[in-house]
Amino acid sequence: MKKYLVIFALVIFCLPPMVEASEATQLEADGDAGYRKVGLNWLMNSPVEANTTLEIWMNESSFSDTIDATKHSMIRVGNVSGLQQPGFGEWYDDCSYEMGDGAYLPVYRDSYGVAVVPQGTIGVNCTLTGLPSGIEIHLAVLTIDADENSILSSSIASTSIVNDVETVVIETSPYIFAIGSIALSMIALLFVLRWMDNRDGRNTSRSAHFYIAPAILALSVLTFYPVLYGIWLSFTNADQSHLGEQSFIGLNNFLTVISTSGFFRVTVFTLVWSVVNVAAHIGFGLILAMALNSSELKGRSVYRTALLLPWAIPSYISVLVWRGLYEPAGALNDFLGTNLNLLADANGARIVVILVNIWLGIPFMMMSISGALQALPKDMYEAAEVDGIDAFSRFRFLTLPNLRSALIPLSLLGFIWTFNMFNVIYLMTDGGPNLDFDGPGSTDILITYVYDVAFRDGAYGVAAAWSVVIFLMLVAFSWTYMKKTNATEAVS
Amino acid sequence: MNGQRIICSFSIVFLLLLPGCLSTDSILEEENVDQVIELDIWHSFAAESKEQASFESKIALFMASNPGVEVQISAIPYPEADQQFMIAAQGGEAPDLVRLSSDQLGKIGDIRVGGQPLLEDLRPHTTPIDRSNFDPRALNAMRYEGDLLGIPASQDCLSLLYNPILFDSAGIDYPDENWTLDDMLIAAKDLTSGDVNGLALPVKNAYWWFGFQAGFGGSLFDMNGTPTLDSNGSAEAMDWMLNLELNHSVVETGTQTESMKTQFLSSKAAMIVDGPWNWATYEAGRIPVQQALLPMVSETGERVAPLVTYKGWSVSKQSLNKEWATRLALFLSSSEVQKEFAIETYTMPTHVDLYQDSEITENIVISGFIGQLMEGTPAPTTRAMAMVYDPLVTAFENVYAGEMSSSEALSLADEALESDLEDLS
Amino acid sequence: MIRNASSFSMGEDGDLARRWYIPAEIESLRNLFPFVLVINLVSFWLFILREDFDSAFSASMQFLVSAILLFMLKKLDRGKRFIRDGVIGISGLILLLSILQFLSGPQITIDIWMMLWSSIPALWVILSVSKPVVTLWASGKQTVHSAELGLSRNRKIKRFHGMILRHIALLHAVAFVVLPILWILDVALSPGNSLGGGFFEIITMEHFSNILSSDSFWVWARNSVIVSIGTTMLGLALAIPAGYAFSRFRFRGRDYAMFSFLLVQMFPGVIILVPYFLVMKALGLLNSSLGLILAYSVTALPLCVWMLKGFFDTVPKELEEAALVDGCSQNQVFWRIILPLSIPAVAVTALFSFLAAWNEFLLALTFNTSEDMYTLPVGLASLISSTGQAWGDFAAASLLVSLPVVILFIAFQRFLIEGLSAGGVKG
Repeated sequence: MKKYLVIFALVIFCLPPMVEASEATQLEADGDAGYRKVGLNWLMNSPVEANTTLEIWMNESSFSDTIDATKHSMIRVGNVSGLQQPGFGEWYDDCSYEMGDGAYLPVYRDSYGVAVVPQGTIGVNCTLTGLPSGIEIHLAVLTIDADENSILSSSIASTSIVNDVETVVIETSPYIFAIGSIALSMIALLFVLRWMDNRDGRNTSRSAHFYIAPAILALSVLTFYPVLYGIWLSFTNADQSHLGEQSFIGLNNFLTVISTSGFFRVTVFTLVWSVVNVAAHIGFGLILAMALNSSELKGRSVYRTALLLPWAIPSYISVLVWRGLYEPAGALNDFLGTNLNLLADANGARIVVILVNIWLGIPFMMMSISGALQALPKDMYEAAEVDGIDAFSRFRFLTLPNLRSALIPLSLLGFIWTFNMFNVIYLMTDGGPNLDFDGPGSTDILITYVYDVAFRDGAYGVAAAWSVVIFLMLVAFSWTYMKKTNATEAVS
Repeated sequence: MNGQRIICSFSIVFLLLLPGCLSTDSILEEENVDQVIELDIWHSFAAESKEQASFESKIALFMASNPGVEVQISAIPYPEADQQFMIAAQGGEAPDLVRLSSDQLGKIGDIRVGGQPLLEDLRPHTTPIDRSNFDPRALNAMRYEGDLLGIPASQDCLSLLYNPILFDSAGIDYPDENWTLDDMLIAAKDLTSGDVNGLALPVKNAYWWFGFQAGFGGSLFDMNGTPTLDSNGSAEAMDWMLNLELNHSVVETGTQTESMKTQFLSSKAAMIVDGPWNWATYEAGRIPVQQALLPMVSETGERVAPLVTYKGWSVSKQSLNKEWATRLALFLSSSEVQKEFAIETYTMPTHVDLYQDSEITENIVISGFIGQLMEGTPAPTTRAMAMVYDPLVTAFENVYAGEMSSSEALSLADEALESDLEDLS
Repeated sequence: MIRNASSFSMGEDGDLARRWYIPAEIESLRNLFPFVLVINLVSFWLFILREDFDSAFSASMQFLVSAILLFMLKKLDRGKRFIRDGVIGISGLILLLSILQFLSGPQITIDIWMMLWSSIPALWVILSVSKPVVTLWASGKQTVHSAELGLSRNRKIKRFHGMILRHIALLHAVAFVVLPILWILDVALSPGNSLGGGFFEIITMEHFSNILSSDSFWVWARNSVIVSIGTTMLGLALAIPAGYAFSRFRFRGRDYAMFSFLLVQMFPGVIILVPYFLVMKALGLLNSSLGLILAYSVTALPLCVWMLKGFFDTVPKELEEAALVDGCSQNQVFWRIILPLSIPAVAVTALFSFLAAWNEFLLALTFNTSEDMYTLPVGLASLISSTGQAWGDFAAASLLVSLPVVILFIAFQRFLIEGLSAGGVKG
């Protein structure tokens, strides 16, 4: 009987130590796991039981109590059925467990993102993220069992030694070189031209090349390189997914441009847009400048100032206000007593954007023509009036020819600006209404479509090709116009 | 004379070349701890707004508790923010931290400059405990192709707002949780009289449509990310929305996002589907606005689930101080900062602690919207999501103009999106 | 000019008188009525848009009748009595029609405008044709003597009519131009931050004081002023010599040089933004006023050069040649003679350069990312938030941004007005 009692007592006393709580042991750390990462693995001295929690604690100096440390992460031990098990690299960090057979499996994640391992786990391997780089850090594992008893393992020190990847560094000397060479070649060109003139005996314009040199230099230094770069880009497959690594693909982008559905439509609309706008700007500008051209007009400066306002107000807000006015609930319908929804259909929207651009552009033309009118000698008019020539003929035969020297550059520049006028359409309709699934919207002009291709689609090479097409169109038009009107010649 | 000019021109060129010759190529150096750390942060809060004031005070707080750190703030106009970031990154002048929304991540995620992405993967920079503070859906929305590109600081979505005064004068019961779309339509019709419209929402706008599409049982993408713009229920949702304006006339013709705000402010609309961002304006305009959950769709039994978008702080790949930048990002998304933002500016928080916080739960605006957010669908952060608007806008324009039926338009839109995605790969 | 009246008989006399004398009123009416016809067409089209077909019909009737009236006005000098009576009768009819049409419609502002345009000319016809002077002329019994009197009377009246015409044209233009600006003013003065609400119902200065009391606004303003003035000065410094050279000298490469100024405007800015940024970075000009000044001067150059060249073309060469003969150097000719004469053109180009810099947004945003270098347009854009916009503040800020420009306009007009009293070659 006593024998059995002793054995029984021994079993009672010895049992608890045999069934003692697991503790993390044999911690190993690997500082080479990655930038700001340290790999940590350990073994439990007995398979973990359900409802145990493993917590990883860290501190910059060694610690024996969690009061002095910061909790880094935790792993629950429990039922893993129904939980997701992301593979290595698919989650925010990697943790894996093994049940004693040496095969490490990724841990499970619950809906809060907490790592879960099944009971019976013996080994754990975690890549700890968020650690300071290059600083020694001490790590330990705290095991909390179902009864809230906790045991802290001994800590281990490690340093994350992997450095950050070198980032892109932009060197500026190639650009300086490019700019410098452009500037030098411009200067050289000017000298060569001057020398050639001297050689041909044209001495009257001795200092001409010097007079234009500062302007030409400023222009070339700042803008030739970007334009040349843009042209070069159109021959490459530049795209936002590999910026800086484009390769030459010849004329492919241009083929894409021409074969875009709606290419013809958007070009036609751009031309219509430009011609109508410039004609209206100059037409109305001329009428208003003529109306203002009398020194006896009362309230002349008030009129002038009022008519210049569209130019003074930042176009951002005035275009948005116009958009609000044209909406069905807007003031235009109230004013006209109608119930139009102009912006909703393609043709209505086109008319609206043209009207708004006319509104924006008249002041500048009016102002410039006023300046030119001011330069016309008054006595010429007085003589004509005495001779009995009526107002319209005076206008046709005296004013118009003399304004020609001003109107030609104005119309040329006006055409170029209107052709590339981005703001109005972008703010008013953003190219809409879009009735075509591929290609430009109904009020898109070439330049607003280029913007879409560049920033919405990220296809910079194609957008550059569109830009070159626009550029060539404008160059062809301007050169012909300049030559035909002898714009560069003085009016005799 | 001529000699002078020759000398003049050459000296100009010489001066231009000088900086190039003198500058040495800059080499990446690891910042040493003892120097002052400079961080550049870009935000897109409106100038002179409450958000900006709140933000600047928090930055000041951060600098005060971290004496070795200097933070430079730049306010970038919101419409140009992602473009400017791209341009600056291409030029090597990207800021350390930038505030981006989850759909912008979808756009920027693909960009490679010199083989490097623009944003730093923040997974190695954050501990699991750091990450556990955030709503898992929010955190997930900041991931693009696996990389964590931002720390989520706020989220928002549309909900149903209404003007109780107009409801009272028409003798109609306020919207409640059990409302169906039919109930909403009936109420809207009863409320539409004179120049008051029952409902204000931009019927052609895809962002509003997403919620209805989900309610009618459709979805934008399937499990593999393939576009399903013409999934079951999408066409019905589109028709239902467009009919509000075209058939039932409960929505004013041509209502856009700006005019719907004006309508609601001048008590010309009884209900509006809007986010929390205009709440303060409505209150300032003395409208006693209330919020209700978007109704259920009786045909499917699903609730209208608006798209939830998230905004967060991202660290640039080009930053020279990524550890400190991450610390600042985590600070700006901490519960104290998020709480203050929430209460002062009606910006919904993403911090899990705040979901239980008494100040937050007692605030009817914030708790109401959080309730709606829970019913919403997080927007997927993918390139396809960033590209989904263009074909949808075209589809809506065509159906609105009567050029084609909604199912036709949506299948064309789906095809267009699929072919755009193919062109990319 | 007829000098010897007595050498003509009465009949021929009348014909000649008729040929070279038309009363001013009739002439003005003949010039006015095409516009009236146009406005009738506009009314017609407007009624169609309103789907008010009855009024559209009456508008088309008016158009027809007015066309007939115009035709008859042209034939008024035939001397036939019935034409004159017909003219008065038809005008009365038009008057009646337009008043009836007005009364039957919604009578909003635009209806008043349409009514004025149809009724007032008709009224004027009645009044003018009833005048004895005109009656005499219409009857064909004009004498040379009365014709001569008529001519001198015409002078004054034509001037008066010319003034009225100018005012009418200008008033219409101002109405078209000012409409949205009034709207902006309304938004800026209304409380709250939305686009809409009553028109000038409640006036508050809160938005203006918000903007003016914010420090950042003054920083933006300071930067804008520096950049704009710098652009103006640099732009003129570069453009004036160039324009002068293009105008006066013939040299090799002249056409190509002039054309090259245009080239840059032709390439869409979207693509060149990044390389431009890199060029500025390479030159160390990011986040500086100098960078923007250079960029804007280059943008403004084409217009400045071409305008100045066109202007210099109109200044006669004889002036300079005379001065050169007198012993002035090319430089002195330029500074003492050419420049003072070209003040109006220089003023226009200066204003243009200033405005190009003042309102430019994209380059300012791209090159200067630090807040203390922001110019006004960028600052303005940063008032836009991601969700809805503070329209009141935004409108107030926009008006404040336009204010210096308006002041500049007013001041600048003096140059236009006083400018050229010298003009041309005297003597």
